[in-house]
Amino acid sequence: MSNKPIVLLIHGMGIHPPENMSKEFKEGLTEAAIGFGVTDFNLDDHIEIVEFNYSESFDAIRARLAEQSNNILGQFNSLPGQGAAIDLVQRLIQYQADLDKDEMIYTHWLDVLLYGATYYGEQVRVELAKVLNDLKARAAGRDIHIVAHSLGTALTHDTLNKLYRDDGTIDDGFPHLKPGIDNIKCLWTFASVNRLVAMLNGISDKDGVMCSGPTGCTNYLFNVRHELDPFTWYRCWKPDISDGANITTKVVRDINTHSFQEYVADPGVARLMLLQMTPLQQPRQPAKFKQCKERHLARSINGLYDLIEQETRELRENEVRSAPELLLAIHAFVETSRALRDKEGRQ
Amino acid sequence: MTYMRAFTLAMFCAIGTNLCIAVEVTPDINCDLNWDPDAPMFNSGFTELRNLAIETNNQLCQSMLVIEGGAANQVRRSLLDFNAEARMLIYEAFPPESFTGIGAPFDYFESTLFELEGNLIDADLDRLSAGLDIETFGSEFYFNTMPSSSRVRFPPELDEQCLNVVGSSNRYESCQQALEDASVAFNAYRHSYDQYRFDQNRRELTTLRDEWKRFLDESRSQTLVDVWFTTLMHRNYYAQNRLVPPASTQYFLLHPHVVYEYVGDAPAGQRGKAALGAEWVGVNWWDLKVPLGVSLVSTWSDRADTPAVGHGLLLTVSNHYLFGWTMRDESHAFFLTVDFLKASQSAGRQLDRYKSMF
Repeated sequence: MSNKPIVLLIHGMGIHPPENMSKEFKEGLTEAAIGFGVTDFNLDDHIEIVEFNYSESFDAIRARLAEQSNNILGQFNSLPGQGAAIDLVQRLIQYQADLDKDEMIYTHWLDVLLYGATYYGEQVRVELAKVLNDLKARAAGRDIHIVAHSLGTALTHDTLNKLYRDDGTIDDGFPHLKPGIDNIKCLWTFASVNRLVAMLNGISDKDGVMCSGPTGCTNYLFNVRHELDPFTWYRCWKPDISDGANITTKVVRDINTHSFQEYVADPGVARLMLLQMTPLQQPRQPAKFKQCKERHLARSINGLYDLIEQETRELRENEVRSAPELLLAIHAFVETSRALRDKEGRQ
Repeated sequence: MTYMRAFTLAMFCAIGTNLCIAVEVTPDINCDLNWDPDAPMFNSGFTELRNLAIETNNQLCQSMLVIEGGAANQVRRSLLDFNAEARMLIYEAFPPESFTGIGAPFDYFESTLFELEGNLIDADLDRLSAGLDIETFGSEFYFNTMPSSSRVRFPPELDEQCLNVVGSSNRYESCQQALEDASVAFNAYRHSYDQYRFDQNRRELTTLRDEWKRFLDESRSQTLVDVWFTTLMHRNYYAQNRLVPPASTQYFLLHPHVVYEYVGDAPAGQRGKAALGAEWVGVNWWDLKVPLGVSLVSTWSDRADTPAVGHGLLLTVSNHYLFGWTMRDESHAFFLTVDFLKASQSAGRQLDRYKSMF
């Protein structure tokens, strides 16, 4: 039996084939470890990674909804005539029939809607709670870390607040863990959108047990956002943290400032992760940290941070009152960033 | 040795007879850790502390799982004894003169136990299962108890002192490692009870998961609009601060159908016809012994001597079988369908079957 820490990874929106998030996590931390001067680094030597993949559940739901619609569209052939009413209904059903297409609007935004605005969210929360409880049962004496990204932070927030209950008793018929007693070691949240999703599902956006210490579900909480990640501009989550930290990253090495791997590879983040999850000592040393930061910065896209920062200032300062406004703002941001990158590439 | 938590076993006896039926038998839980003392969670260099914790674990597990008059205070007394003895063993390895504040977790634990004297109830049991833990943060590390009100910081400079007191074994490279190992030994006292709680959770979560699976497999098919509408109607239910099974009602909004409709007053040859059905709003109790639903519906089909549109009611039985009645002026119409969205058969075969019924 191993006594390595267990790291539970919970992905964000979009299609995530199995092991996809593990791969990004390993590559991000390995890059940083090499930057800290660690040779022959293999993350698997230090931790056990467990993935919670709800993308597959949502894919199955989308496929089932599409199949249902295709069935009824097939039945329309048996209707005599093709009047305007039938045509209109067919058009409406066609939208649902397209849900299994691998287009971003279906794989990304629909995941947000499926989680936040439908009862499928509770089903996924039950699955996640079961995974976490099973880990607690087999991890006696071992540390558990939860690492959540994007939509995964909302799922984590809601699940932990339903699972860790101070008022739960062993015989009340509902599963529960005890805040302060059954704490995990560290909760790592990247690009948190829990306050955004709370607008959809009605679950309180109050932190509840999402804090460190005796009233929380974790001993440490690290909440990370990138300054230019559009998902963190509105209803940004900035909890008061007694043990842990709110961290803001700034380096732009990828046009996708929402990238999980880029978040993990940031030296300021990777340093804390490596210290908490592994016995490595190099990240403690100021000289090694400086060296890692320099290597990391060297791969940044020259001047892109300043350009994006300047061009998106108005977008960031606008007040967003509804989900559609948020979608438009993020779309505008992506288009602006892309145009800037292409312009830079041509020069 | 195995025990069952007494109050999870209910006995029902027929009046005037000796016939009793036991229900909801909780699976056995193993209170005896000696079967695997070398498992990593108990494998500590602090063998005396570990053995004490394993012995306490067995007593605690037995007492906690058979809560009957006075047993709760027996738990409290066992834990007080354990805390006192564990404190002495820790002090031998880490003298308080050098490790200032190392007694704080034991003080905290003891004060919690004293507070509960005389009024210990079942709900308090979880509060007793506090553990020791080592935390690292930056270059410092801490010795604490969770829930933590007394975190004690030990600087790395103590490492030499720590290695001296722990002995000549090459087991530890730092003071932090030694304290971590001591914590592993100490925490064994709560292992069986924790396992019991996690096992209880596992069964409850498995039941919830199965309920959701049954809902998705057996309930009436819903479009995305229906799913959204159902969720909206149950918004407060799903926003509760605990995990819940699926709600017992489904709602439907603007749900399309293709139906086979029979209008008795229509001219011969025009009576049976495929029609478009629109379920405006409806409800289905999917989880009844015989699931039942009712909806407001309109049907549309192009007919020569009767109005094209009829309005009426749609009934759902057993989540699959949908049939209804509509009025077209003075004419009654009946229609029949299965939940096409759920049916796996092709529409053509389904329709042929209906046609053959008329």
